[in-house]
Amino acid sequence: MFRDRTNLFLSYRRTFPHNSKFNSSRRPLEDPFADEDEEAYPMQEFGTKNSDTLPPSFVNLTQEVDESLVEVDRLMVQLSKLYRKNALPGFEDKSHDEKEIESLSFKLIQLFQRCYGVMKRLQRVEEEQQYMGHQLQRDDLVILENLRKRYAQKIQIQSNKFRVLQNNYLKFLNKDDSKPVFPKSEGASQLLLEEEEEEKGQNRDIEAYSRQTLQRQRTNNASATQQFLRERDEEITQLAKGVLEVSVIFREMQELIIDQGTIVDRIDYNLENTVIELRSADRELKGATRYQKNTQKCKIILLLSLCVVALFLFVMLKPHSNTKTVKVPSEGTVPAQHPNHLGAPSENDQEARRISLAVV
Amino acid sequence: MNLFTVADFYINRLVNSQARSSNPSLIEQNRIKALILDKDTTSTISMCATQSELLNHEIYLVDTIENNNRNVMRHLKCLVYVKPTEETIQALIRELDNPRYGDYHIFFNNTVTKSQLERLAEADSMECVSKVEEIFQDYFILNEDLFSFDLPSENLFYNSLMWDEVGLTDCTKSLTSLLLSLKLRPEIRFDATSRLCGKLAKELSYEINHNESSLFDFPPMDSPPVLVLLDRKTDPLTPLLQPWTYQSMISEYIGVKRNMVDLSNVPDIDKDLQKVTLSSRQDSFFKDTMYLNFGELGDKIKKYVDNYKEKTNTNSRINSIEDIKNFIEKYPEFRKLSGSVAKHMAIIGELDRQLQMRDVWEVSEVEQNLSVHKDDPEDFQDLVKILENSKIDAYYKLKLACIYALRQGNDNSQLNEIVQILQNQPLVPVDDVNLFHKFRRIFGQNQAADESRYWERDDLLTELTKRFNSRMRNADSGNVFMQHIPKISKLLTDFSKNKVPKEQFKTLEETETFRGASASPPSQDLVVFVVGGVTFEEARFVHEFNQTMEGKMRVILGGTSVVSTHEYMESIRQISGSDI
Repeated sequence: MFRDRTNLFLSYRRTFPHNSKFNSSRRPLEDPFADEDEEAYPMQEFGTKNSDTLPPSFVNLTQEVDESLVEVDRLMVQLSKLYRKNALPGFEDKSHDEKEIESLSFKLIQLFQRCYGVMKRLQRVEEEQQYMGHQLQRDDLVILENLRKRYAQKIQIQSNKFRVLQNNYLKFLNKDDSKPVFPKSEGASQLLLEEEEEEKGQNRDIEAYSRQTLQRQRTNNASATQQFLRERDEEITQLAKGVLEVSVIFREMQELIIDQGTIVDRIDYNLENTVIELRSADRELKGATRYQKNTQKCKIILLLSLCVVALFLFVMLKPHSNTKTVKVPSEGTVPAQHPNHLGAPSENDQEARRISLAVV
Repeated sequence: MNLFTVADFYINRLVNSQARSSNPSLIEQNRIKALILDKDTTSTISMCATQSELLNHEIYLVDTIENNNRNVMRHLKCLVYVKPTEETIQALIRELDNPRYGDYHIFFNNTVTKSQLERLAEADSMECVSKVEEIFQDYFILNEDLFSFDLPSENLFYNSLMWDEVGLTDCTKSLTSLLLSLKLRPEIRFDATSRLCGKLAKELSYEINHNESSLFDFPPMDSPPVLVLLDRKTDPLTPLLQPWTYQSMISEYIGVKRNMVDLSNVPDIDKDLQKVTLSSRQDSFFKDTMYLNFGELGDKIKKYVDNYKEKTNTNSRINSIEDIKNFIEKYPEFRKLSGSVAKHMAIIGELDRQLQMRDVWEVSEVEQNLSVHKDDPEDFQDLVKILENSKIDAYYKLKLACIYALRQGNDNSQLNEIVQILQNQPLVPVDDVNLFHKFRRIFGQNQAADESRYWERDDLLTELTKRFNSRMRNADSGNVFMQHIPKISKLLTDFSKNKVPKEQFKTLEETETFRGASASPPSQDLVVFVVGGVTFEEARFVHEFNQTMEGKMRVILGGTSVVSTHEYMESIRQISGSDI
């Protein structure tokens, strides 16, 4: 049971005079929608610098994954058809089909690798927190992370399907090897024995002949099976290689997948957690500003200490140069000062004499 | 009448929401969506959907409307799912005044008033809202047949007889949304002895018949659905007894809040296991075991662990490439299993530890005996022994005394003896003794008045017929720890036979009396709502009843909250003495 109230809401909205021009003049920068009404040039509006109306460009990367996955789906259907056809016992030559199978699985593995490449790129974007020169916002990062999780899951599901498909075929091939080859030869020898017993008393010539042909047949058979075996072996190793490659991708994706049924999958837990993350980011920012202030202080201290050192050097150097400058003119000035020096004692003598007179 | 299917329906509406006017182009469909919730709907939605389900519908950003630090992202389509409270309407108006996202689809989880809608329309000057819809899920779904409003009783009532105004409107609204979501226009029956139920019934029927009558315009059914309003006070015994089913034990000893179990207080707990979720939807083991008692649970978990061990053994034997491939193929499933095993082992280990530590086995046996037998001197001796045992927690002693008082009526010299013992115990605070007196005052008269009427009107003959006719599977009757049968069981049986007396469970409209008790067939859909809190133990009975009556009758149980014994005792403590 639900009730749609859109009409009521719209009719209410119509009763209020919403002047988009007024709004756009009030908030010219923040309002791309008002522009749309005003200009009525949707194309132009689309092309303007309002980049925030377009999804962030990293979203486009995921389109590649989507395309690849659609392709994977198509190829997988083909492949399973071929597998089924091949699994049926038959006499016609299967080498053509086998080649097609090979090329198909090769293509599939390539597609998976392409998806994996995109995921890697997204991861790099997330780690650097910027894309094509743009610094990403916090919400962008949240979106990006969720995007990665989602696509990892998608790829995971597809690759799992592929691996199951291949595994089944591999199992069939292995069984196929042991079944048609060994039991057949066993049956043949048994037949041979029976025939021998039957024909013992009848005809020696025929017996010799049949034995010969049978033997020939058997060697023929053996060499054929050997070749067949080798071919099969190669095939199996190749398929196994493919499986392993895909499972590497699978394992990498596994790290991203949300464990369903655990706390990580709770909506409210995620909400709270992002809040904590933001706080920690905030704290880090504060720390950074503190550090920055500290560095400013450091710079000033460094500057001051440089000044001190410079002054110190200056002081260190100055007396040295003083003594020099003093020394050089001292020889010239001393004689000049001499008369003064000589005159002073005369004054002193006069005073001393005056004092002595006073005493007397 | 499976609540989870209802929730799924709503979530699907939410995530697949399309604006009606625009034809959905491919780009529009693949547009990234944001989901904005408020604090009420966050819990509602996380109890029935998961993050990965949201991701599957291109919802890559989930945030709260209270958060003002959201970035402006015009390329996003925004789904708003909020409860129409004044607070969130304000927040929404602020949001629309300065929209951060491109396109808004607003969903309310209950009816929104016209004035609220008008205010929103006024604020939407950018015309960015393209859809407004009411979906009705203003309640928390715990099990497929159990819901709760999570309204703590101290905010709901002034005292045991009077509703708090806000609490009453909240409760009525939530209950209306439940009825709407189930498409029921029920006949309301309520416990005649409870004034709380009577008041709620009146409010509710006014809401249904006058305010929202256009919404409740459902085609009539052959047998009208019934909404039964019960008061917790009618059956105070059930929430006092120690519970023994898995789900109820978790709630009693560890505490579960909105399907999340907080294990961080458990000693030596693994870091990954500090908080775990338990939902019968995602966890098949929990679904199988949630109603089992501790003994059966032990068997189940043993099998589960054995199964796990077997798998680890096959996984540890990796010799050939074939084995590796098998392992990788089964690895995700295996990891899921190991996580689940670890989780349940941690929980059950903790439960066992608590049971041992608090001597619950001993206490519970006496509790059960007291609740079932009447005036048994042997039981009294056991009770005295426990009361004098210094090892046992004072809380359990108080509880036992209360249970005894409930069962033995009022004037009994033995009760005084119990009070004496309690007072002599050094560990029992005086406060608790007062609480015991209060408990006697509240339930003393109540019980005595009730005694002769509906619940206890069984002499030997009716007792026997009840034994035979009871549609409950009494598989546990041999179990010492689960002898007590909640009153709800009798009520359900009577409803299935259409033998519920009118005088005990009144209907509001006198006009409906023509649907005489025996004339109409028993109703097929029954919603039982317990004012004051429901217990998981009762949920088990409802679940079993639903299983035995499959195809004939469907019952959904709910309450203002889900109470454990501690919460119930606390709620009694809250009742101030003068109000009784």
